[in-house]
Amino acid sequence: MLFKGIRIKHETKMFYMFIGFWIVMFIFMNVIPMAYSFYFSLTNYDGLSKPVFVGFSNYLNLLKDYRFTGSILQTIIFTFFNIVATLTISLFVANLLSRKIKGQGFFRSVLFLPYAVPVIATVFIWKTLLNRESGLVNLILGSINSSLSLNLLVNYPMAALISVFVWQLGGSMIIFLAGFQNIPRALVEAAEIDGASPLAILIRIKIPLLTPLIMYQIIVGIMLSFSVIVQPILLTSSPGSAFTAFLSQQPPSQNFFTLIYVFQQAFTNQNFGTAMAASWYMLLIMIVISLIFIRLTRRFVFYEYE
Amino acid sequence: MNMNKNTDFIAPGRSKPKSDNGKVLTYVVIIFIVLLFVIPILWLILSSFKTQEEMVTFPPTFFPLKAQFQNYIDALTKINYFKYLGNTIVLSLIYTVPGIITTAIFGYGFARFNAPGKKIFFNILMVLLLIPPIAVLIPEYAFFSKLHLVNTYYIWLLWGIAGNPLFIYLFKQFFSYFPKELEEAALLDGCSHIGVLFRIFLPLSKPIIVTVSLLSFLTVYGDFMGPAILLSGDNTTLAVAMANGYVARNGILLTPVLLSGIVLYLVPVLLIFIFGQRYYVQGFISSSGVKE
Repeated sequence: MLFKGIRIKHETKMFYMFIGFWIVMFIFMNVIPMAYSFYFSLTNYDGLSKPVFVGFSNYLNLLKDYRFTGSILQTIIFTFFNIVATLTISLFVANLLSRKIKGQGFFRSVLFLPYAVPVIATVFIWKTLLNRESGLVNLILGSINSSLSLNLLVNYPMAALISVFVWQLGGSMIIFLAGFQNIPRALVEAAEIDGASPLAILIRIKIPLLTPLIMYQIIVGIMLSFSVIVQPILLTSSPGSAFTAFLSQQPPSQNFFTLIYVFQQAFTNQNFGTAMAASWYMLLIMIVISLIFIRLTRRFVFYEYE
Repeated sequence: MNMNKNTDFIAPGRSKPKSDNGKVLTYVVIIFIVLLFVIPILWLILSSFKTQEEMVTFPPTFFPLKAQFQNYIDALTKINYFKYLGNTIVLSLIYTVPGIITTAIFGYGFARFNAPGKKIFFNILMVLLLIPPIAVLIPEYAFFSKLHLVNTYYIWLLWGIAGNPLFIYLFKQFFSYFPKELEEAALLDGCSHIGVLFRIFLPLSKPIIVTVSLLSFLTVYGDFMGPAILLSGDNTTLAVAMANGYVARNGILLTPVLLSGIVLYLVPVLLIFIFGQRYYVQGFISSSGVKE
């Protein structure tokens, strides 16, 4: 017994020797900055002078700032439509690709490719594509009828923004595709023999089996949608303006999200206190939305291994 | 098609043509979607050869009137392109190379040992996996500026060795498949755990090392917010330099030159994608927990 006791202790010691540095770095890179950030949110810190403690007034003032509350609303609307659009389309595409077709690998690669394109390239590709003057969309519309033209970036900025993420659905498509390919053949064949139509098989068998993956993707989608900042600023802020400072450009109100508010407060207005308070609100809302979502959908999710 | 007999039995006389039509329809839809996904890249390449005037004339034309190779020369000379490319690659390597070693050590720790408290730390890792790095960028900025690290590459070194949670998770997954006997035999021969990791496990882990290297390299190569906030002036990366640099004297954005710069910027990404796709996709799928 004594021997066993020592062995367990040795293993524990080894675990912490291997992980110890990670724990130190976790405290150093996450816990301390977070604590710092919470402390700043209670002060009027401007990045230069000594922070003065102001209690929760930053948090209270934010609730009265219509630009902040508006940005929260826009972020939630964007998150909803972004997730619905990207996940439905990627589920649809993955389902098509999971059939027995020739060139499956090639199609999969091409559809996955945009996902690997860095954000700055994506933004300017999209800007040229949707541009009023030189855009491909208007070229096509113009060839149908010369009076047709759309200024998507100005008139439908959120739709334009979401189309970027739809183009980059490769990541979620790959995961769904792996999910479809993991569905046991026997289940599908049994349903086919019973005369179920492909649509019925998709809705009644495949999608229920994929619910854990769909859940995972939605949670990831919430986190990613809340952290979008480069695309709305560079894609939809007024074109032609000289690139003075990246953060001082104003996207249209539809695409003015909370993270943009946070960064502008911190770096353009030098209000670190307000910025930190706003980012804590944002984190809280992200967590609450995710928890509500998990709660609401719990009984629809099918867990094979529980 | 081998199942004709069965399907005929269910829906006599109708099923065969229907499934053929279905197949054709599937191809038509897939090819249509693939075209939609490729066109933006083609449009980028075509537009990069146009003149500044062509970019603002309405209605637009599909092909450039005359291919402007000058755009590419301007892209390389208007900003110090190779210097910023060098910065980007150096930064990616500073993040990737030491990072691989520490993430492999952390992954080994999580995969091979059981200890009180492991569950808590693993759950923390899973939460970190979900938090987008950008959400902690401002607190990190405040912290780094206290340490006088802003506008240095040490930040990327710290990020690298702190271990990206995704990479730790990928190593952990890979290492948990090795048989216990392999480890025990080496330990009996007097090898330490660090020896087991570096002499036995890592040489057998080429696929996951390639996956993590590619993902890690591309993370830094494609990042915009990190360098935009934490670096300035000549220290910055290509992504930021391109977004700021291609402006004429009167403040007008030189769109075709910018697009040429972007085409060149995409070349390494495309090469990595074409040659390393298998690894890249693999890393991606494992991150979601789907088994292959």
